Amino acid sequence: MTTAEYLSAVLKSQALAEDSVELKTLRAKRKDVEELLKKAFKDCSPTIRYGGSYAKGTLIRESYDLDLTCYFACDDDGAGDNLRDIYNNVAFALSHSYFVERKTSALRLKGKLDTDVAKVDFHIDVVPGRFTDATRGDVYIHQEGADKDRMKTNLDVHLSHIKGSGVIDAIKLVKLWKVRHWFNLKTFVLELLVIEALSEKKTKSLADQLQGFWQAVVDARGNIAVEDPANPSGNDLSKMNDAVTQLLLSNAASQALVSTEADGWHDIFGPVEETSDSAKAAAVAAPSNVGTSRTKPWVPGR
Amino acid sequence: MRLSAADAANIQRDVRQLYPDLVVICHDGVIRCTGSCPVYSESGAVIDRFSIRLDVPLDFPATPPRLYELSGRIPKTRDRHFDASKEDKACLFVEDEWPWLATRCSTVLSFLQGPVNDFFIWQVSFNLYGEDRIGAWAHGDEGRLEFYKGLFAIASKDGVETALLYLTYREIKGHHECYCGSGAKLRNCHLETLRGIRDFISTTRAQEALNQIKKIPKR
Repeated sequence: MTTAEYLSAVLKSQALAEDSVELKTLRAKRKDVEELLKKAFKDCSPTIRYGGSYAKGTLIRESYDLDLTCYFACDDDGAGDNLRDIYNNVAFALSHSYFVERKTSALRLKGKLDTDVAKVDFHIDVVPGRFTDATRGDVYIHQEGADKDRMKTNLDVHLSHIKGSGVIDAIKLVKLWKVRHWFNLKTFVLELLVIEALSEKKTKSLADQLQGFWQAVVDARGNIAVEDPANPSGNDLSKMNDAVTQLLLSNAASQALVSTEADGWHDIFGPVEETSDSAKAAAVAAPSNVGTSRTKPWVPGR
Repeated sequence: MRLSAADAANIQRDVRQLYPDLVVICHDGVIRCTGSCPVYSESGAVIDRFSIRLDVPLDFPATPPRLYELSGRIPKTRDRHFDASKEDKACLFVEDEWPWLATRCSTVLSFLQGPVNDFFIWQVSFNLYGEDRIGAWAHGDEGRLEFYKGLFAIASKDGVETALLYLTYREIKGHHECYCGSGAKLRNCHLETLRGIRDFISTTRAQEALNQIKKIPKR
């Protein structure tokens, strides 16, 4: 198998079909959340749109999410007087049906405690915000616990920047590399870095693109700085990732370059996985290793 | 012999081939393995992955590691074998089973290949079928009782209690009636079996298990 064939097989193993359980569940949950928000804020008519990897076309089986924006009109204070109030009120409305994990600007939805989906990650981030003006383009979103308590952004700009980048496959594989190494790194910043690093390499092979990205990370020497296309002068993305994460990323990128320059692509992404339901069914039905029986799970208490 | 921070690098080396995406460091008094954990079929194919954190105590294998599933793909419920009272720790086996398991899972690699992989095989099966088709221990002390019934190869709760009672004795003597219900003396029945089990279970642990199993109401 050539490197190109291998990377293509890895990408294929990460694809999520439209009728897959994951995407069916995501779409069903999206519908529930949208209805909940519209009901909770029926006097405000929030604009609910879709973002995240689902909308950008960058989702992979090991890392996918749907951003649901919940934006209110610039002159409507029905959902809250200020951005913090809007953020808290949306969180409160969602908490009736979900376990809400508060992130800097988004509200991650998980299964409610004491249900049979307790703490299951639904891969949905709700992002409350308010349009800056009547054109309904730019939005202000709240930033909990950040240096600046609000950020200006624009969903359409982000979506078109990513979708029009011409390096979607490279973005997907870099995301996979990020997930496998458990880097605590903002995916959005990583996507922008991939696009910037590969701006002159769109026609190169996928292998060359990945090596180009890793070289860019190494060259940044732990100081990744990319511009937010939605607000280039206003949003300082360099502060989104701490120094330790950047250092880990730089070291991992360096190792990835060494491995792949010696043709060790399997060291990066491992074997292509047999993830079909039939393969899983065969695996779980098979007996355990000869001479030992499988351990069985348990739980203490009543 | 206790593990130390220096062992983290050795463990990383040991697990690298099969678990290349686990990062092993010494953190907060444990050896911590974090990252993407592949689930292997018997043939060695990767059939799924879960993001995990495995905390290996420094007195391992005397104390088993603690597993946490981080990718949010499995509900953290008792029916899926997570202990909410311990930060959603995954319960890979009946805790009384550990002394026996430790003999074949005395390295981090073998623990990953054994109980961790088995746990996720069970979860993959549950995700596929929506029900337990592989088999799990009953919750709580009922599961503990099941384990001891299997260990002593007997079917009755009374027999388990008797066997555990004998294990609380400083010395197991042959003149007691055998726990299996045969009516024979231990010395003519399962004395050696029980003495073999004694190698794995202290008198204190036997007493604890006996106290817990006695609380189970008779059917």
